[in-house]
Amino acid sequence: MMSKWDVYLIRVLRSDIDAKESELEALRHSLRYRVGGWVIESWPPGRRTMVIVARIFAVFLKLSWRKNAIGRGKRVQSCQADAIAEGEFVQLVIFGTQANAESLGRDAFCSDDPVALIQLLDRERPPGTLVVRRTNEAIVRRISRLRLNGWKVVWQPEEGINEIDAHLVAYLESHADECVGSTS
Amino acid sequence: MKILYAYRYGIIGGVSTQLLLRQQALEVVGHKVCLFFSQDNGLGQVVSGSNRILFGSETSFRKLVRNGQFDAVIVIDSPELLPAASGSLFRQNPVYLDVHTTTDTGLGYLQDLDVRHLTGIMVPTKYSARLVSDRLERDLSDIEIVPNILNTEVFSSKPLDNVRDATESVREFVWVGKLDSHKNWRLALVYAGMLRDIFGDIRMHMVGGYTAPPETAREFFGLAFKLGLSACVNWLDRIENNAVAGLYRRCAESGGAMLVTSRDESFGMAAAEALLCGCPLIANDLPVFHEVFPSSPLVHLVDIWNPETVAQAANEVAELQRTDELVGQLHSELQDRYGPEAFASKFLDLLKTLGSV
Repeated sequence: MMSKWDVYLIRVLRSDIDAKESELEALRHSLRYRVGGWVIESWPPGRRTMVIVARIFAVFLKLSWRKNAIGRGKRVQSCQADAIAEGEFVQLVIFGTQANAESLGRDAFCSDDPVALIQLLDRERPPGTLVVRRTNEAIVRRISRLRLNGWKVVWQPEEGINEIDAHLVAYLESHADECVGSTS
Repeated sequence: MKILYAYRYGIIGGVSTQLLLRQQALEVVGHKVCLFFSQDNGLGQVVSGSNRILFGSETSFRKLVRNGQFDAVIVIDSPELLPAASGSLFRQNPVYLDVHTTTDTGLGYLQDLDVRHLTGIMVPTKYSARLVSDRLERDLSDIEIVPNILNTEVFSSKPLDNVRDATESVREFVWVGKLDSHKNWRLALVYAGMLRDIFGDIRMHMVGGYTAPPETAREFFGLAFKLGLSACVNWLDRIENNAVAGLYRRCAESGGAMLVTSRDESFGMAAAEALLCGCPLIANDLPVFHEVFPSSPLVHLVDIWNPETVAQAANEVAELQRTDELVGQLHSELQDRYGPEAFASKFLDLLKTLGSV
């Protein structure tokens, strides 16, 4: 018969297996591993070799382009959030859509682009209110930090939205200051 | 003296925090210290405005060491910077290697490293010294120990502004680290579940993981949900030192502790900082912790893979009488070992001995 410690031990061991599997997945998807696999596939030399060489060359070009793009300081995303200066007070930030967009004042920002919102929220500024209307891990992972810094967080799911992550909803419902029209 | 520290990753983390503390400690005693990072992974935003903290490529590093006329250039775990570190042929900078990593992968670069041109090699602990001497096949005596610095002002059982930290009514625990296999975050969540079963409603603050990839973040929320912990777990992906010190004090006041599930540690900065704040520690029984932490009722080193021992430690912490004397004594001991004065003294003696000064 299992003791209560056995139950926890199983979870402990499972967590270790998950960690190792995650590392293995990361390794399998790593460039070094994939290129190594192609090199093995390309021997003995044949038609397949030409395919592999072309693939390696394409990866090289892609990496060079990416490195140069970073070196040029290329912006991945320009967004409206840049117009709001660091330190500037934004009373209301909405992730998702706002039914009455016209009614938003000048000190409000609404976007369904998590990248734009992160750029806004991660800068030093006086706390306001964040209304989360969709689930996205990049936004949800920040809500505790925002609350610690004085922000009010409201979870107000959009009506009719299909893509809802139950795990993120559970966290939001537990940690938001207010839940309006929640799905649960 | 003019000193340059160089490191690859300009990320808000243990090494960069350590470098900022070292810079401050040495400047207080009259030396000029520059920090160079060959990547800016977020640190630049936090330290903007300082002309002694530089970000650049290997080319700009080469220029810096050629023109800087440094009395010592210390490169931390960034072998690609070592060839250029000595600067020009006509005026060579003494170059030191400072090894902070303790993972097998991290230490891998030592296998192929030619250390003959280095003035010295330093590490923060005796534990690290053994790892490095094995890989370099050098005597232990060739590896110098220069301790890390703890910020004993911010991390203290009394808040700097004397305002009492806000508390919740539940027992609070804290875990600090990246969401990676090394820090073993999944295990921390499993134990959060166990602690909740033992004590009823708890709060487990998971601090760190700002740079965790989206798939890891989704896995985090997924596991918290699966274990029924979505309400108990509080993920603080990034937090300032003053706030984290307040968090440690709150955990201590609530009868909680810091949980350390790491598979290995090179020093245990976060754990040491928690102890400075009077927060008890339930930590994996790692060799380095025996070296770094004084013996104290606040320190519980356990087999982290054994739930029963973790539960026992948690119960002992719950019953612990945390007196001001106990907490103060531990703070004092850690300050003596790892305060800014201890570091500066050891570091400058080393430079003197090895002929940099």
